[in-house]
Amino acid sequence: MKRLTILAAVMVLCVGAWGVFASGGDSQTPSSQVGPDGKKLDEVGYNPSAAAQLAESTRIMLGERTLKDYHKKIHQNGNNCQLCHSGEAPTAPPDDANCIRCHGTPQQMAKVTAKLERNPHNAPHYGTYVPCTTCHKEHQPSKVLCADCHSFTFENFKK
Amino acid sequence: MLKAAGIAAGSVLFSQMTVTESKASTLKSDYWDREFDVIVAGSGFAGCAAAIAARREGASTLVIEKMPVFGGNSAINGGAMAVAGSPLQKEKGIEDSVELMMADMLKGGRGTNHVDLLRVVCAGTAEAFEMTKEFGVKWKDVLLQFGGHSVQRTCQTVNFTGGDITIPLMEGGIKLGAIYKNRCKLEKILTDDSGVITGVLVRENYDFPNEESGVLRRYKINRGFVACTGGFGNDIPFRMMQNPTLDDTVGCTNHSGATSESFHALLAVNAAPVNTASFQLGPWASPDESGFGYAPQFNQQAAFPYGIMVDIRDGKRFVNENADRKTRADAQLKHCKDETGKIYYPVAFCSEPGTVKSPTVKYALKEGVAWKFDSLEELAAHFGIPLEPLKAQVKRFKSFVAKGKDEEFGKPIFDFDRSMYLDKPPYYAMRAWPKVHFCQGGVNINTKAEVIHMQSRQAIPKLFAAGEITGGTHGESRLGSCAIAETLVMGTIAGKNAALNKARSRKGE
Repeated sequence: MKRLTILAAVMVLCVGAWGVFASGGDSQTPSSQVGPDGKKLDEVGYNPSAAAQLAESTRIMLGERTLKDYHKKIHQNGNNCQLCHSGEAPTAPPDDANCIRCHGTPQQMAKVTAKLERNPHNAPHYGTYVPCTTCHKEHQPSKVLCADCHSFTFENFKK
Repeated sequence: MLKAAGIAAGSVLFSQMTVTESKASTLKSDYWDREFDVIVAGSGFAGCAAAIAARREGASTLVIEKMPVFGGNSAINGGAMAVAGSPLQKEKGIEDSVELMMADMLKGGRGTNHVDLLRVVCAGTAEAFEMTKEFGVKWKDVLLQFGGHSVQRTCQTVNFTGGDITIPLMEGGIKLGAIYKNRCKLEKILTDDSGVITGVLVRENYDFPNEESGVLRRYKINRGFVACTGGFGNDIPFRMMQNPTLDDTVGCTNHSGATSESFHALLAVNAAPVNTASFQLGPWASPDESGFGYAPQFNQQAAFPYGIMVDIRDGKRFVNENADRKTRADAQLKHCKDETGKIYYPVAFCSEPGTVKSPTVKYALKEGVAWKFDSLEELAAHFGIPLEPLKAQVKRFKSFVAKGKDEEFGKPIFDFDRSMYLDKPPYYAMRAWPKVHFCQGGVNINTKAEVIHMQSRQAIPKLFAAGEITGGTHGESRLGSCAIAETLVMGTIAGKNAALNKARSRKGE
């Protein structure tokens, strides 16, 4: 029950931060907006104070999450859950749409790795339909799906 | 709603209330999150075929898949399909028939097959094969003859994998209007007070295998639920409940999602179980790689037919290396363990000419699954096999090849392949150990793919199943390349009948 309560708090905080921005109706001048706690939102509607609370609640709920060095800068050292998880409670893998914004579509990624002996982004078993987070994990060691059956490895794959 | 929530942000009391409310609405029996005519669980061969068939009958169709990736075990399958009376057979003048395919499968199944289902499957293969081509599946222009088949009737996809089939069929289904939803797990089949199926409870945003991830949702079903959820070969505790010898020392060629929850959900609505303790083991797998890997092709096409497999403790053979799957796997499990349960993985090896039919040996060598040795001494030292008995065994086998007759275990020696048999170094070797490959058992269905109630022995209204989750078609032991045949034929029948179930489900209301 305690976990549920915290989960709910997290969800409401998420919806809250997102809700104010969405209902503000004027996304052109977000700098003038204030969050539910009376503090200002930044350019992308991100409320550092609310987000920090959210991150703290999440840490209490799920325990300390590991973070990957190469993403620390963009999610403010783990304080911006929304960046990947959108308005949802960060209890489920995020939608690919949030990865695609920076990394390109699966089709584009397949072209990037097209010269490898085995193209992980266009495998004969799954084509380009593998969700990013199947292999690439932020909060646990990354592991390629191929490794369930095959022992070949990818040199540039970040663990 | 968003605004209201925004104002209340931070209020723990308020959030507690919302949780209580939403939890209550989720469990209320008249509340539905979504509604479809047909819901298919599983996105392998059977599920893809069912979705296409249901859409063609005009039913709104949702396919749910618990894993992040679509395709289930079918996506990692070898892409070989047995077809009785294919255009390729006609072109090559090979005479085949539904009856002949049935006879082969009955022999493999040791006579315990459900013959009515077997007939429907064999009779439907030619049409199912044409359906795959209609959706753009590309087949090689060759026919193969797998173990237990009396003629060449197996077709092979261009990349040797089931993904060549699941990807185009999924795209085809989506084009026809089916919705595919991943990370959505079947939790429970919901019924009303009179026991009639009303919908399913699912877990959205499921993060396999975390059973606490995601959220529960109720989906209403108007016409039919089609279970195409595959086998449970990778569910070790459940597998051991059925057969305690299949513990975690026995590997599995299946994908990690081949677990038994959907089977439990079907039993909970009184589906009749068939043959649940019967697991097919693949004797050609390797303990040096996980899953299916490369070993099966090397062993099946090189070491087993043209070389020998020996017990590392005495350097002697212990089974006909080319017997059927069940005979070989049973022998490995019996001979290569001591009283304490310690396993001594047997070693299979052949000479270089024996490897010409095995295109994957180069990968197996590269990835440490196979080894190359320049002498028997080297081979014996590497695996710790006593040298003199091993030399004697090789000498005996060579004499059998010269005579054209295996006097020890009766393995067929083909005169036309004589140059490929075990002879001179270098030797190619790998360790062979059976892995769980296929669930012979599952739920009982009739020829309309309706699931049978275990007490009334009548079809359970609105409940259909197809593929590896069903049992009976293959009896005790399935022949290679008959799984795609079965799943595509029965999946199509299940999807079509679920969609056509409109009249009856209305009458039931």
